[in-house]
Amino acid sequence: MDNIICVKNVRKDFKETKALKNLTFNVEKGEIFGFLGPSGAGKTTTIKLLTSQLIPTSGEVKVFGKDVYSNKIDLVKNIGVLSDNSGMYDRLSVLDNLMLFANINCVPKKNILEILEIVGMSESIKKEAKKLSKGMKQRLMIARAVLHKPKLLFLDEPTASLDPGTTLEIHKLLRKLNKEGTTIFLTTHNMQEADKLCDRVAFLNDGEIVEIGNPKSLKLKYTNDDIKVILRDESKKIMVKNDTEGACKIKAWMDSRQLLAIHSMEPSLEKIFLNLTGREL
Amino acid sequence: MEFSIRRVNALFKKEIKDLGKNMNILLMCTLPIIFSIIYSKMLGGNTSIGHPEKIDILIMCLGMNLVLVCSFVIAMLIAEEKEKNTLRTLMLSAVSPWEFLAGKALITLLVSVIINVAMFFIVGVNIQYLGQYILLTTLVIFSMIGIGAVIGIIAPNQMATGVVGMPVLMIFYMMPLFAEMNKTITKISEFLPNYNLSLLLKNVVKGTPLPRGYTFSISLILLWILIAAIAFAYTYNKKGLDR
Repeated sequence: MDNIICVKNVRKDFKETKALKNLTFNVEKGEIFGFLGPSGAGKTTTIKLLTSQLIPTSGEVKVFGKDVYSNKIDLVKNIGVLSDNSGMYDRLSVLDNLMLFANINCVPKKNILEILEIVGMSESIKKEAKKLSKGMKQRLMIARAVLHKPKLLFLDEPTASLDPGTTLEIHKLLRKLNKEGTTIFLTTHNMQEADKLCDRVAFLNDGEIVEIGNPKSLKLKYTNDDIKVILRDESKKIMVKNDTEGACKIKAWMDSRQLLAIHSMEPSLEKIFLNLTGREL
Repeated sequence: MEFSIRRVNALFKKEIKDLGKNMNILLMCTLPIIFSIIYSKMLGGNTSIGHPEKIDILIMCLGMNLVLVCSFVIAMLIAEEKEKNTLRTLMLSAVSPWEFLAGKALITLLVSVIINVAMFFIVGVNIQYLGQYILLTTLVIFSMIGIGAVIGIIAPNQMATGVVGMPVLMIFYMMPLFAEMNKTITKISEFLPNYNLSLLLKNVVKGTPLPRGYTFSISLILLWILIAAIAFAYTYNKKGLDR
């Protein structure tokens, strides 16, 4: 599969602070890639490097197969960005805010109405942006970032201030865009979100990637040997080891028809991160 | 360098919509008009010796418009976009810095010309001079917009435009006002575009034939447009629009 993002041996220093240390990873075309890490790990710095807002101290950053800094104009036409430093025009209405970006990117007005419907803002099109709640502002920012159906979408904590219902709608929208061919680069603290949405995730700690892979594969890789068994009588939960002794016990419960359910004990992404770094997300 | 008329048009439309709701800018735009009404009511009826003529009243108001509107409006508009992160959002939406600045310059130019024309009619200068008046004032507007854009690039936010722009206010607004009081101030003023604009307008009203009385002032105004463009290019290369 083609790589849409190639980051090779990238280092970024801010005076004395080493924000990124020898960062190397690829993002494949058509995937949803999750970039996970605690505050200060270097997630936003990485997005800024990938969107030509920052220049690396050393290393190579390629997006769409081209160097980011020498092809800035082509790059920004094909990407959508939602980050903590995205802004909106407070005095303009929701519709006027989106009309501006639609006119810049040659997007027809019907697309604005469609996207507003998806993010649940159809009723608020005439409302001034400054009168919107924090969650509504975030929805407007998402609508703005995806309005022109970019080939590559960068989302920095997109659902951080949204209610569960809207988060679900945003997830649906992201999956729809992904199905239509948009590659998504997502940073999030929400492990469930990453687990549900991402094809691959990378764990970033202190400017370095400590693990990268498919969420399911990572969980299997870091699973422990315990198996949770639930028995019929009194719904008893028992932990057994995944070995010959454990298998014999399970067989015995099956023979005596006591067995109700068996669960493998895969760790959550959060637990994997904790095990790898000793830090919580 | 990429430049799209469509994108500039989109930004210009946005500026028009936004201007109607921007109380800071609206207040700044109304000040020269309010002062032109006050000055013309107070001084405009009497044109005998020892009293300012209509063209002098218009020149006083023009000075205010050139500094407050032409320079400070564009500076505040640029600084506000930086402050509210909308500039960064635009830069990541395929808008080039030159398109962004063209949108800002166009709205400032439009507003400045409208105010200049409104003041012309409020003060009641003979309409036969309107064409030359618009032409000459528009030339100076270009240089003042350039200076304002430099202030906007230097200032990190709207508040800072006042601090950064204070020397501009002192030099371009105050100097021509006090030019008659002191020889040194007169000498300095002779090299300012707005002072030369006032000389040109007085010559127009007096009916001085071309090129006598015009050449030096027009050359100096054109030089100021060039200076403003160089200052802008230097500041832009040094500081950038969004670094």
